[in-house]
Amino acid sequence: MDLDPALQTFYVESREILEEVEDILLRLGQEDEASQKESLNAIFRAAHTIKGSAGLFKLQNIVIFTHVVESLLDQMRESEISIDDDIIALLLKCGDHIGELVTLVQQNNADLPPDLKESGEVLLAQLKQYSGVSVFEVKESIKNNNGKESNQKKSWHISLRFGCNVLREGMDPLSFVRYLETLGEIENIVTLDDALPRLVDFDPESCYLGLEIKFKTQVDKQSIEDAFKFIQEDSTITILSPGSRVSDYLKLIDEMPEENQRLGDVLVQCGSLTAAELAAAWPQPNIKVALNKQDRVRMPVVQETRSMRVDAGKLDEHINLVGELVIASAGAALRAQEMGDTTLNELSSILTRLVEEVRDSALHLRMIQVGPTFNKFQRIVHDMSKDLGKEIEMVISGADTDLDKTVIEKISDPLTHLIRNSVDHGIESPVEREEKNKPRKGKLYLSAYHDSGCVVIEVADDGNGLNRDRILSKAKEKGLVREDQKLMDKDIDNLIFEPGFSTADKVTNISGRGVGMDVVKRNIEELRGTIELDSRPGEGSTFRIRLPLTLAIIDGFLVNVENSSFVIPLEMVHECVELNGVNCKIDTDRNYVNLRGEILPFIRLRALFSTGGVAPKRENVVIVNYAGVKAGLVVDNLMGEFQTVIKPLGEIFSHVPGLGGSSILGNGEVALILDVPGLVNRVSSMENFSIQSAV
Amino acid sequence: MISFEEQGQLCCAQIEGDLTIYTAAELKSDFERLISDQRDMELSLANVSEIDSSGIQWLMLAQRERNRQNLSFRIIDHSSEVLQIFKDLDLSSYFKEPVILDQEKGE
Repeated sequence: MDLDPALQTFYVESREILEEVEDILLRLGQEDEASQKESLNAIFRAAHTIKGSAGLFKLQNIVIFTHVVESLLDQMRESEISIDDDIIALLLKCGDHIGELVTLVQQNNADLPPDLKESGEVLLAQLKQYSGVSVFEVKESIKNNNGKESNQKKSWHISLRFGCNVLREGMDPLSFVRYLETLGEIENIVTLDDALPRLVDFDPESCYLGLEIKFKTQVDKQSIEDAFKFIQEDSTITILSPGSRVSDYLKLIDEMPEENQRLGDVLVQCGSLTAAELAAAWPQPNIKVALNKQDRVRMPVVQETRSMRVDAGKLDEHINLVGELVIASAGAALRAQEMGDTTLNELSSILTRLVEEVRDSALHLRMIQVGPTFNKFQRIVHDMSKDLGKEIEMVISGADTDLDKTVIEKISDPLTHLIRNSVDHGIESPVEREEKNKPRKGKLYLSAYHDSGCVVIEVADDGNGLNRDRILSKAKEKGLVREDQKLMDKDIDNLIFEPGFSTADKVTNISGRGVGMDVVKRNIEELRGTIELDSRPGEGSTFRIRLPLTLAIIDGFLVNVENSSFVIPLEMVHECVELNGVNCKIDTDRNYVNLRGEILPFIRLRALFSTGGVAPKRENVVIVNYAGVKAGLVVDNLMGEFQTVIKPLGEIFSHVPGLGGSSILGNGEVALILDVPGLVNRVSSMENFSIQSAV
Repeated sequence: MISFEEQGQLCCAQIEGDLTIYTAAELKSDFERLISDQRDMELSLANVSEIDSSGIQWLMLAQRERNRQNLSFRIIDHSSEVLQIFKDLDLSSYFKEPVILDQEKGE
């Protein structure tokens, strides 16, 4: 049987469960007794689920290890073992270990690598100190589970109606029967063909089977349920525990699609009900029940599914197609305009609107909340502060902010680095803090929010702030700054983003291992984002990361210089004015434009991209705004709004300054997308340079 | 695939190869013929190398549809794997012919 799809689900689910457990464990220490009890129950269930699913796939390593953890959790639940920091730390490590074991299976590694085996054994020894349960006993008990008769065995009744897609998804009803045989003994089984349609309607790849099973076992209900975990969504599974009343069986009969009388007979045949019991329950054919049933058949069962798993590849393909659709519809709109047919124009504008909506909803599919990613950092902060002997509380806000999935994946590493930095260098030790009249417990803020077409993620701490003297002396030592150079505070702070700059006096275990802030900056820039830094000596520092909402499609503003078209991301366009009109005067000597009294730097795109040609009589200025800095871009013509798909530039062009990507216009020509943050930085640094050289 | 061999009023069918979800759709026309054939039908499973629930479904459908038309249907020469499945799902009585538990007969 092909278990692959089910295994994939197992990987994903185990990870999710482990993450959840981690969250609960991190909270556990602060909780009161009642909620601790609940949390322990949740963790126990989680461990049990993993063990059960692993058992289904015969992943012995995971089963054995998890079983030991589970026994400890059980004892904690019974309050035989009290909760303290050490045991929480141990459980966290156990969670990690299970995660590693799962990864191992996923990589198709049958053998345990020695280091993993060793760390597993260490953990097991530690677990044994608490619970007194050893691996040996576990192996024995698992063996017994699969072994022969035991007087504790009880009879269950399992009623299964497989979903029609079960076979297509690589699951075989037979394998469930065989798995049950490893858990206990199937006393009676009846295979139902009632759902099997006539030949004409029969789809050979759909599953129509139903099973009624009388099953004798000593395992608990959870273990039986776990066996059917992967089909529970679209199959009907009813498990009646030993000693269920006749009325429970009648309810089952009532709920199942088959004729009552027929199912009653089947249950008798199974031995779960006796003929006498059935006869007593149904003195005469129960018309009312039958009528009820008919009513219910007429009403389609509305099954509410809140979410579904979709392969990320499929989603990407979808977005790609929508991108092509956007380009195609832009082409159609252009042609319609040229033809001048009113009806066609109207139709094309409706089409454009719909395409826009499709695009928005498609992009929305990719959006996920940053919360889960943020929560991962709880653990890092918890572990690190313990290692460093610091007391740090992490405050998360804006966890429900949506961000593109790809962006979230790629932002995780830079964020980890920033957080490690804050914990290691930013926040002081409790003693130091007390001397400074700060609360012993340091605070680390991690927040996300939307701001004009961008998502902003902030990492802030109330620690020491940057040590500007040290940064400056280090920069001079490294030759980044001339000895006599005077720098503004902000420029000094920004030096830490320079390649090869690290201020850590001593290389600690946690940061300062060669990967510097320059890598963080580069990673963020690769996502078309920017990072800025705000530091107040003695009060703390804030790193602010700005990221585009999505990577795939943007609303652009199309401009034209000579024969080239350029796209400026619309959310950054502040306003458009005529150059040397009433509102905007140019000062060519000192290189600025005067916008209603506001002095702004500008760039002539004609000069920047050497398009050649002569500037027309009337030029236009597009005022762009990025992160609070404004600048003017001088262009020939303004073409208007334009929705576009970003196509990355090839390797050769990736270093051309000022360009962020390319796009295809409706008429098939290529338009280049301007990298506004890059341009704004360029002009403002040129300006600073000229100010400095003037000084 | 299924081969058919006519012996007067009796039709001897034989399944070759797998009877699984991977072949279930391919076998549709063969089973249609098997179900609608008006002669007495004997289906040999001796050469079935692999069988799963989708195969069982085909066999159950064939049995039921032929019962409906009052046509005879007999499964013979169960391979050991088929026997195991019939046992697992307790299907021997469904295919009413008594299963002959002599495995060598299958060869």
